[in-house]
Amino acid sequence: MFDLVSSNPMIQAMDQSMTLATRRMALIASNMANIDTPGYHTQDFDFNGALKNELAKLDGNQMPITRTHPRHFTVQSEASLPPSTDELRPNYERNDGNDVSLDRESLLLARTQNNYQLSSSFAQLELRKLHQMIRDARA
Amino acid sequence: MSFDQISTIAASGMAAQRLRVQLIAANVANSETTRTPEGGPFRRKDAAFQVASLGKTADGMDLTGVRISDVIASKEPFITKYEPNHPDADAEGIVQYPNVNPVEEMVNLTEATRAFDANVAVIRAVRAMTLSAQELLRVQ
Repeated sequence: MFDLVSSNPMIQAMDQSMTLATRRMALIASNMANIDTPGYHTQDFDFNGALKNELAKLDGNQMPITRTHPRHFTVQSEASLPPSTDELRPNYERNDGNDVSLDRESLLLARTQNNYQLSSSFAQLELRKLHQMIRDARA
Repeated sequence: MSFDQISTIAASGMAAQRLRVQLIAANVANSETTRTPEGGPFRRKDAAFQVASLGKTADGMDLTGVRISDVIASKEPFITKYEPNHPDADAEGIVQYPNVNPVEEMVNLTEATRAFDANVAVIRAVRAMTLSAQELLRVQ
């Protein structure tokens, strides 16, 4: 059966974007918490690359795959996040072997939050559109 | 992956920085203490940070927080002053004062405050994201 909401390409794409933004947020939180930990290295992944990969997967398959048995393979391959190719990636270490840059993390924090809110707004627009269609059909 | 887990990471950072500020406060308060239960003058204390695993998310990503692994007493030499009338003076009238440098403590305090604020910023961002996710429920 074609599901109006969960098979909607726009909503699927925004779902992926929000998931990746949340995941990046966890890494930024780790970096900020470990700003004074000796030997800690900045963790990150290539957000644009990861999003492109996820969207490419969606293009080939519009129907959502669901696991109907606990021993089925999981659909997502979560471990394969592309490594960071960010030009902001810190290339220096402090004397204690830590390379976290507060400026970079603050910038990424704001950017990731924006990404998330933008995706959320787009998803909401799409949901409103569907709602409008249903209401108009009833009228 | 939940927002809760991200807040936990930031909270671990806040707790570690708070403990550091607590040690700095003790250092500043005891910068003239010449007598301690262990004997001798007060020694400057500092915190050693360590990566702490906070488990995994539902989709298998590691969550890394931070914790204080150890409180280190400084081995720097004590400051000596000639005060023959002081009760803790030795036979030659020398008193040993703690190895606390107030300027260093102030710099560390500023650094700890900044790091604490960075973690607060994460929590604030997570809160904003939660609110925008809640907006999805408002379709009308």
